[in-house]
Amino acid sequence: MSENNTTQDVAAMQKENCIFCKIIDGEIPSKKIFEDELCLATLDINPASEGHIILLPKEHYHIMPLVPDETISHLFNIAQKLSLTLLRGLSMQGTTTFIANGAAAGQKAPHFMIHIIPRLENDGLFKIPKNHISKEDLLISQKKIKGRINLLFGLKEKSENQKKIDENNDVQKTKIKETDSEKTNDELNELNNLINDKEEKNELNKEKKPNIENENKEEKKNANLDDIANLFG
Amino acid sequence: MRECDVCKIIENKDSFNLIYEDSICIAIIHEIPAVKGHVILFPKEHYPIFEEVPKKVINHIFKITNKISTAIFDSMSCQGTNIIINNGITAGQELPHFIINIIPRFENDNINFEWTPNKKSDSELDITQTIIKQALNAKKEIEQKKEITNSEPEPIHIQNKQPNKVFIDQMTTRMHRIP
Repeated sequence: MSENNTTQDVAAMQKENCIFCKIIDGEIPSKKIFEDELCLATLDINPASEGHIILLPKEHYHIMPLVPDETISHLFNIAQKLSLTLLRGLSMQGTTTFIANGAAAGQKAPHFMIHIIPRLENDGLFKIPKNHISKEDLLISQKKIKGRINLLFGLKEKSENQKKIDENNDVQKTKIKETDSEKTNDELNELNNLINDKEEKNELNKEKKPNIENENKEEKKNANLDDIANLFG
Repeated sequence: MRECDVCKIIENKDSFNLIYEDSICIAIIHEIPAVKGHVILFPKEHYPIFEEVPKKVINHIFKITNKISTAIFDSMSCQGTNIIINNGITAGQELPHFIINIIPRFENDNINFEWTPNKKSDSELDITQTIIKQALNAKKEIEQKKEITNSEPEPIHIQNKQPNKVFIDQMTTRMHRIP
């Protein structure tokens, strides 16, 4: 209990001393751009470029992993709108959405925030370095991160595959509905001919199986998929 | 098919260091990373820029971003992570496919994403605020009009593109010009 209390105390203290919580409460004035019940967007007072916006959740989360999923989704929907607004309002050709988690990553205040920064040509910002590293090192990184991800999501390789098949079936169902409403009479006739042609049908049925296993193929080969989906209908 | 290097990654995913995949998005280890453990996450559907990605995908992909960021933090024993979306050629976007960079950060890793603050005067900030707010309100009006004319709910299927906007088209064509 005492440990819990101390962590709560620390959190409360952090919140009390947090400049951004004070901005949200209106104790510190700011150039507000957008506000709703979950978040606040204001101009950065030390901008990287003109129109640099910071988007803050109103709740005090000091790092991104603590932010709940719903808030994350909401924040990035707003971030997208703000990015669009910057492109339009300031006639920019690009924006960078930037998040720093931890002091080593350049996080300066203990309040999670999303930076949306309008970009000018040759402004020299956010150049992501490129280092050639060995395949072994890539594999090591993959193994470490993938293991952790599978743990986080509670995934096993097999169950993941099963999930994929289920999801694919769902995708196919929605596609059937869409194509039904879109197809013209000509297309219908064509498809009827296809159905009558047994050889064609068998071929298509054969194609169906690998498509379920490999969803990329399925998404890429739209024409084939539509034909197959209509045959099902 | 589309001439997009990222779409080609999805087609040949087995030859890359895949770390996460679901029906909407896919994450691999960057082949030429900023630092060991640099991950790129992108939607399977081809959206050249951030603004074109539909709400459903945004909702999903950033939850995954957060989880991957946490996983990198835990597994690479780094001291932080950066999440960067460079959107548009001037922003340094190199491939015409919306990509989220998740980069583990270590102390003294020689990566510098810091910026020199361009301190602006209060009146300069006021002008910028007004311009952005105006643009935001203009956008809201357009959306409201669309809602009235377009009473049908937006289908959930991820292939449905967002409504075409002239400048999105312009940006998109610019993006397609990248070799």
